[in-house]
Amino acid sequence: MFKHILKLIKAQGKSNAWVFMELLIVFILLWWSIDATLMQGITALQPEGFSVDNVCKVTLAVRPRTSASYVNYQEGSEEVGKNYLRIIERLKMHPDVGTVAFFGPHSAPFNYSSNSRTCWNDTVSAVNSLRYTVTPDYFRVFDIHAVDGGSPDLLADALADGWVVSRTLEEKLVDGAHLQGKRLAWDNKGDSTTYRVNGITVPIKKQGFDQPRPVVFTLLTEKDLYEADERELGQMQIAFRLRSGVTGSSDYAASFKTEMKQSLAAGNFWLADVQYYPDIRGKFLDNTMQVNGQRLNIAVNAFLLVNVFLAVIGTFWFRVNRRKGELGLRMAVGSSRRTIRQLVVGEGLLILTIVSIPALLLCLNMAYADMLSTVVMKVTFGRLLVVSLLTWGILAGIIFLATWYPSRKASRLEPAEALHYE
Amino acid sequence: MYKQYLRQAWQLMKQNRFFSAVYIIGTGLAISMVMVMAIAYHIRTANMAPEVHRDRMLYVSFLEYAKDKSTSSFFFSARSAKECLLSLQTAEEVAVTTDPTIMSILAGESYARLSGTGDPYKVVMMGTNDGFWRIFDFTFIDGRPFGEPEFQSALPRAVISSSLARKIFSRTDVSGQAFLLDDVEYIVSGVVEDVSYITPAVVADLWVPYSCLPTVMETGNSEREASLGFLVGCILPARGVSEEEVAHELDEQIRLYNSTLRDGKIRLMNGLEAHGRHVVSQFAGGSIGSGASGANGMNPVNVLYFVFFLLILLFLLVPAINLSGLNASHMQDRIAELGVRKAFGARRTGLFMQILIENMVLMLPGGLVGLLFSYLLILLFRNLLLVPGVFVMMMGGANIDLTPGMMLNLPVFGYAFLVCLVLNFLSSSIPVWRAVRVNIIDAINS
Repeated sequence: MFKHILKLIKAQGKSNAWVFMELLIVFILLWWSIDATLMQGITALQPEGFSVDNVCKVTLAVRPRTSASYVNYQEGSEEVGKNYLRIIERLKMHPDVGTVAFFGPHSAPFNYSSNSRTCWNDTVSAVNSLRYTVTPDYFRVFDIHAVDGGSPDLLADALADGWVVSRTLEEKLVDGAHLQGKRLAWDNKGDSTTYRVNGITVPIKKQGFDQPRPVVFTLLTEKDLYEADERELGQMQIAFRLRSGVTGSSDYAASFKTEMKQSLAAGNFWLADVQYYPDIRGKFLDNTMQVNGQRLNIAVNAFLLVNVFLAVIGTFWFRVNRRKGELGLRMAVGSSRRTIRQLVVGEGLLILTIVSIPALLLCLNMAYADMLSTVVMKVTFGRLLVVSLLTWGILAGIIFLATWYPSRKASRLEPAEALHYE
Repeated sequence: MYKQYLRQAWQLMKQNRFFSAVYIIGTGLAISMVMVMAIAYHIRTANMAPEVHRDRMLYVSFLEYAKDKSTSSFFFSARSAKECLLSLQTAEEVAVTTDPTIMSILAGESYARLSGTGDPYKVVMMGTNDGFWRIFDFTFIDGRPFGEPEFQSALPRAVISSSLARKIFSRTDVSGQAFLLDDVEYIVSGVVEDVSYITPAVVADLWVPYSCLPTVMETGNSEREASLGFLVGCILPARGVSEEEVAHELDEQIRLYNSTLRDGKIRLMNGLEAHGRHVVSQFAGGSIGSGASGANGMNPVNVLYFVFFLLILLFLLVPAINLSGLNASHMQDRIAELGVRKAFGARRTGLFMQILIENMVLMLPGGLVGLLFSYLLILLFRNLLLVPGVFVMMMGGANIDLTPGMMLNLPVFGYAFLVCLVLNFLSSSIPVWRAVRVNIIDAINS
């Protein structure tokens, strides 16, 4: 049967040329985008390293100097920092609030602002890492665990007199060897301050759809607060985790805001917004380049597949029409209806398999020329095999669908009627 | 004669229902993809209120300050904007505005509320000069824009959008009323109809003189802080003045400005951008320093043009191959007919044209279906297609008001027809030409 179909395809040569060409182009494009989709799928499945469930974000706004109700403080006055801490204290006093953390503007998950610095180990190796300036409660609020399974409380204690770094930093800086207890620095001059690594967190993602990046957590001290001016304090982020037993939601955040509007104001700070963190996460992820790119990717691929469907169904429909005589003869000499259907569908699938040989050669060249992203994983034989099989499978499915109708039509021919055409 | 062709084409369409259906869907698909790009292009580049001068507008944004070996780049400050942009003689009008997205990230969000107990609403606030209201054509429901006197004396006046007016005051005839913007009292000078992210240069919930904003006006003492700031410019060249002349004068102004500096120099990074280029560079992310005179590697704007070209080619080529295959199969059935026609003296070119026209007739319903489908796609993907990516990313989604006029207009229909013509030629010419070249005897015998 196989050999027979091959002969048929050869005989149809010219009219198959168009289908061949289209399948070749689509196979390569589909192969490439399936690889990209697969990599993104793997990334999306990796844990984020923290949890925002039951976490709310508090946004404070600062009254500008031009406001009539602006309170003037002397330059360098500690009153500004005290006002900020007053608000934090009042927030902590609310019966539903479990833990409150505040942190630098670049230290929050799910936003685009980041502060990165080079972190050095013994002036030998360095890695570019995100710097998160946080209070110890940050680990409790976002439920970040140590890589060895240690609780957030342990990490919070570890931050008091040194650094806490993420596992990713350990992997990048010393190839996964242990950093616990070592001293690291922000630059490579021998005499600079070094900091002891007191804790290692699980890998932490910043934007959900990205790979975990090296993170260095440093302590945000009260002194830092007193030294900052109002504008800088206004940009600090505040988040709190609800006490266990209280369930957060968008509505909860809204009513919390109304309830606390009066008490969460001090000096020139006033409460602008309370948001439920999963809402922030959802909105952020929904608008990332990755998600939008993925939507576009799906649209383009759907377009290509529908084209393949139309090309195959059109060509085979005409072919069955033209070969009515031949098919009738086959039936007359004993082919069953099933054999006829297999013949038509088999021809379609075999064309795909033949095309996939040059197409795969081109694809492998693409892989060889480093055109595939290696951010998530290296280009391995297994990866190429899975992607190639998926591509073949999807196209085979489409071709099966497209040849089904013409093959049914062929098998329903009445031999006597079909032979009329001869 | 052409009437005869059309009638014949219609008959053929009815006879081969399956072929016609596949053909129409195939063309519809191809046309819809290309039309999505064409409509997005149209909406982003055609004059559209309030951006009614897009065809003449020139944009300036990134400014670099270099001192010794260190450089920093940002937008114009109030001082550099005043001395370099607002003083341009070759410009009919210059609008200087803040970039609301960047402002909200670096200086904090803005909140508006009614004096007293009102709830604060997060707003997109844009600081502008008075020229802004003359360049851009807003529809005022109530009141009027703030003018030069208000701008110069930094009076807290605001033009607000009708939806914000409804939120704060529950009505729209509120000019002369006071409200609090970040706890500073502003008087509403006018209420305008809402603008959406379709017109990214002007989109905001309220507009105030930037001279009122401390973040813009109160710069540090260093040259760098006094030269770089939050302001971007839109320049409308005077009638009969070319882009080069404006660029030349701007260079001169920057040179003059630099002569007043002691330590460093400022430099315009991306130069003057016409609207099309501005849109593409926003699409590229508009990262600071992008396309800086092509110092190293390729200009990202040119790379994007190349990617668009490839996409259009792909969107046209794959369906064209597809339709070619269909045509080739279809032609085999008609070779006998063509042979008879030839035997009675029809010429090859005549036959060729006839079948091309037939296919064009078959393609037009496909074009219509495709156009309708592309409207659907535009609606589905509007965040991705119609708005600079940065806005969507930073603002977490953007409101987009699409009016029928943006999609149902002559240029769009023109693009659609043009795409049909190209596609028809691509997909029909080879199979048809091969069919009409078949020897008469072979043809009749087949």
